[in-house]
Formats: sequence, C-alpha cells, structure tokens
Amino acid sequence: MTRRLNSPILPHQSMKLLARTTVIFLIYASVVAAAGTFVYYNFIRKIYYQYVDRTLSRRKLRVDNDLRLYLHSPADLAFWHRLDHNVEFVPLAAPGPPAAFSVRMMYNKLVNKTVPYRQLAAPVVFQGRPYRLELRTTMLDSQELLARIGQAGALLFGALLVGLLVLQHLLARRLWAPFYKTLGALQRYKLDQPEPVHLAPTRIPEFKELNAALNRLLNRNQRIYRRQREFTENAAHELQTPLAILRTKLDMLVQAPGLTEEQASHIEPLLDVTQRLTHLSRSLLLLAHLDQQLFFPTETVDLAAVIRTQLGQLREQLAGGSLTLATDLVDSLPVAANRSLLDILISNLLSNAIRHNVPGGTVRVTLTPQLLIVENTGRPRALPADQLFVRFRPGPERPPGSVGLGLAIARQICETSGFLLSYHYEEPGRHQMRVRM
Amino acid sequence: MKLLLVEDEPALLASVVSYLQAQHYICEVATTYAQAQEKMLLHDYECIVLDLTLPGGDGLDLLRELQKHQKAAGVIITSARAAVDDRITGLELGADDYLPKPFYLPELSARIAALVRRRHYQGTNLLQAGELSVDVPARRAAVAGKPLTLTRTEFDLLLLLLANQGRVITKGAIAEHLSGDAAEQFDTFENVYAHVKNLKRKLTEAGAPNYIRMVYGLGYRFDVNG
Repeated sequence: MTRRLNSPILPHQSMKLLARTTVIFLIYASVVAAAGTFVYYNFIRKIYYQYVDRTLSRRKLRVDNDLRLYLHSPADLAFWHRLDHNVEFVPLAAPGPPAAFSVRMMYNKLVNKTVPYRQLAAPVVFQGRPYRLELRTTMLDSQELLARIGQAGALLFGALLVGLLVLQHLLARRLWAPFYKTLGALQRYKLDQPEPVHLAPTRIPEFKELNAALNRLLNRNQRIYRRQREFTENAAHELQTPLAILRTKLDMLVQAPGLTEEQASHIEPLLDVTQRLTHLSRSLLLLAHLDQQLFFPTETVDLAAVIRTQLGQLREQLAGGSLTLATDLVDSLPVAANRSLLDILISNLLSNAIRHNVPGGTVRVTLTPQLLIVENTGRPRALPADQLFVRFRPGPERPPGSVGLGLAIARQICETSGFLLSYHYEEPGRHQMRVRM
Repeated sequence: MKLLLVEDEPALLASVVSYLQAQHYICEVATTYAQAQEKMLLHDYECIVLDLTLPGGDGLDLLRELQKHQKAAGVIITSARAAVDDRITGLELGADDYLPKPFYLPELSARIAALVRRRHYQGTNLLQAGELSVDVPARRAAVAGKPLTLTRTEFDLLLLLLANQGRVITKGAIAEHLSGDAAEQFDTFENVYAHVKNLKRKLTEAGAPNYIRMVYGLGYRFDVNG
C-alpha cells in the first residue's frame, strides 16, 4: 500500500500477482480481438465479393445470350439501360480490354445517395461492333459491415473480459486462499513468539511445498534464536558465582591490616571493573529474561512518584554536570507495571539524559497522562534513531564506563510493559526519549 | 549468634565465613544439600544464608523442609538465579530476604544484622555505637541524646556503617546499598561522596567524634575507636 503511494508513476510495480496476470491476459485478449476482427472482416469481405462476382458473371452469360437472341438495334441496348440502370452498354471504337471487376461509387436514386457498386466490365460484340458491357450491383456499405463486425468483436472481447475478472476473483478466493493464509501467518510472525507458527493445510502441491519449506525455516530460526537466548542467560548466570568470589575476595582484601596507599591504588581499578562486569552480567540476564517474556508480576505503580524519587537520587549527578533540571509532571499517574522494571526504565532514561548532556545543559522531564518525555541538551544534530536502541551500541556517543545496554533494556522493558519508546529530535540540540503509555 | 552458611563454592564460602566471623558471628557451613538438610534440622540457627543451586538438590526444597518442621530460623537466599519467580517463590516459602549474587560482604552483613534485629527486638531496638544511639524501628538517631535530622538515604547509610563497624566498606557496596541492585550504576560515585559527606557533617555538628574515615579512596570505615 505504501509502495503504491510512493510510486504513483509506476503502479504496476506494486500490482498484485493476480492483477498482473489479468493485465497480461487482457493485453493478449485485446491483441487477439483486434487481429481477429481484422482477419474476420477481410475473410467475410472476400466471401462476399466472391459471391457478388459470381452473380455478375452469371448475369453476363445471360446478357450474352440475350444479345444474340432478342436484341436487334443499338436502341434496344439504350432501352435496356433505361429499364435497368445496372446494365449499360458503352460503344467503343476498338475492341476493349478483357473482363474486369471493380468497385465504383454511383448515385442511387432509390436511397438518394452515392453508394458503392460492384461492376463487371466486359468486352462484347453486337452486330459486328465492339461494346463495353457494364454490369453492376449495389453493395452493402462496407463501412457498415466493418462497424457490424467490430461490434461483434467488441462484444466478444467484453464477454472475455468479464469472464476473466470473474475467474480471477474466484481464483483469488479459492485457489490462492492458502497462499494468502500463509502470507498472513508470516506477517504476524515474530521470532520471539512463544508458540510455533501454524500454516493452514492445503491440497495444492506448490503451496504444500511452500508451507513445508517455511515450517522448516521458521523452526530452525526459532531453535537458533532460543539457543542463543539460553546461551546469553546461561553465560550471564555462570558469571555470577565467579563475580561473587571476586567481589567478596576484594571485600576481604580491603580489610587487610597495614594496607598501603600503593596497594589500595591497585585495588581500586579492580573494584571498578568488578562493578562494571557485575552490571554487565545483570543487564544481560535482565535482557535475556525480557526476551523470554518471563512473567513479571504487575502492580499499580505511581509513575510520577517513581520519577520524583529517582530525580532526587540523581541530584548529585545533575550538580556534577552543572545541569539544570526542568520538570513538568502530573501530580500522580498510576500505571499497571512491574515496579522493578519501571524503576530500571526510568533510571536508564534519566541516566541517559544526564550522561549524554553537555556541561551547563538541561534535563527536562515532562509527564502527561499519556506521555513521558525525557529530554537532554546535546549536539545540534539528530541521532540515528534506529541505532540508538541496539545492544552494545558502539560509537563515539558512548561514554567510558557505560556498557551500552541502557537504552536497549529501556526499549525491551517498554515492549514488555506495553509502552512505546521512541527517539525524537527537536531544534536546537534537544534530544527526546518519549514513552507513550 | 549462630549462623548456617549453605554454599557449594569453597572460595566464596571462605570469604563469607572469614568476614562474618570477624563480625563475631558463629558460622557453621554446609556445602551440599544433604549436609544443609541435616544441620538445619538438628540445630537451631539465628539465620541461614542459603544458596539455591546446591549439589544434590534445590535450595527451595530446603525452605519447604524448614517450613514443614516449623524451624524458626531466618533465611537469606543468596542466588545466582536472578529470575523473578525464584525470588517470589523463595519469599513465599518463608525466606526473609533475597540477595542476588554477586553481593558485597558488608551488604550481607547488614542484611543479617537487620534480620536478627527484626526477629529479636520487636518494637524497641536501640543500637549503640560510641556516643551514637540509633532507634532502628523508629528510624531515629541521636548523638549523646541530641537528635539528628537524617534523610532516608543517610539513615540507611548509617545502618550499613553500623552493621560493619571497623570494616572497610567499598564505595561500590555503599552505592548499591543506597540505590538497590535494580538501578543502573553510574561509574562515578558522586552520590556516595555526597551522602557520606552530609552524614559526617551532621554527626560532627551534633558533637560526635569523627567516626567515619575514608580509606585511600577505596571506601569508608566506621569506627568508634577512630
């Protein structure tokens, strides 16, 4: 539909398969109808001329006979012509050319207009003198003949067209039904849907094969996807115990009596790295759980209160970047969501707005009953919206220490909670994350 | 104060035992399901720190067993299984707290202390450290009888410090204690610095000696003996 709108000049590009077949059929039918009408017309014409010419030839034989038996003077010839305009004798000085048929236009008194005549001009000899005998017969108007034949062709063509359209409709309904069912199932298909795809059974071998091939492909994809998801979860999970050992050993190490400043300077980066690894593995685990659509119990949470609490906790971070905080929040907004997930979502969005801000910039948080907007000042150009929510997003925008999963998690939480997260850019340099409830 | 630590990872168990023993807890350990089952049914413990993934069985079954035998021990689950339903099932089966791995030792110590306090002192529960006295249920603190006005975060911080007196608590442990494990962590510790600074200021303004000291930028130590 959209493609059709995008390319109005080339509508056939997005034409349905059946419509395309019909168009080809129609073109073929019109060519056959045109050529058929032409051939048909000429064929009929030929038969008609043959018939007329044969009649004229027979009449000539009769005239020859009459000339010999009943006519006596040239006056008789003129008299005959007066009785029958279609018989005329033209006296010649020398013997005329051999007999020939032709078409000539002549005035017809009966219909009061000029009409075509078929004429046989033949040399005859009467009383020793050469004459040209002209025998004529009126012809049907050839234009009218053409029109009649054209009408018949058009009728035929029309019948063909109506038949084709009806057939196409029936085909679409009946023959192609399994195809459209499969197409619908594929359009609704999501890789992370828990239930397998059900393709409607069909008796048509091609569609049967198509469905079988699709089923194989989809099952394989789903298996790979599930395995990868499990892998992520297991990997993150298996990290927890080593990290726990690392953390607790470091906790013990810092208790050591007589710890020197130099030793402490070696321990500090270890603490930071352990912290980062822990955060990373927890984020991966959370994403794996969100991907698996594990059950997250929902309760009624006041979103406005969550935002206020978190903004309070981020006061130091805001001050650290000399950031101004501007808020426009409704007093309270109860939403049905999982509290932990909502906490993470808000925390990620707010941290994101602080991290990617510029010194002296602004963090603006707006909450209406339908929409949450978290806005930060930043570079005066829009960010690539499709890349923002990618996991482990690389790029210069990523500050050191961030694992690049915050927005990916935020989007996944929104998906799980039935919210819609999107990025918007407003001039000048205002980057907005919008959550539509 | 007797604790049972159920954990199959020896290196982790060693750190936990060593840290908690220095906090004057008596620690018994179990490294398998059978061991844990035997010990918790034979003896009474103040608190059981329970790992869920054990050789020989699921820690959640141990909880069911405890419930069946009406054992009055407090239970803190420490698990690498961070699934939401695990947490819910655990708490439904009578566990008192859930601490996902990896955890900080001061955090575990604070959770045990809180659990013990809840179980023993209903209503009145006064913590005393030097000139500082803290009424935990009422969330009030005072220096030599002079009340302190602390924010919720500062009070939580004070509890963490008091539960780990004389020990170094790293900045990361404090940050996680204050923001919870759900919140995304900043790689900076501005929050920690600010809250510790405010708490220190309030304590000294109330006339308390300098109990809280920074240890080489690693973290802080609360010590009434300076």
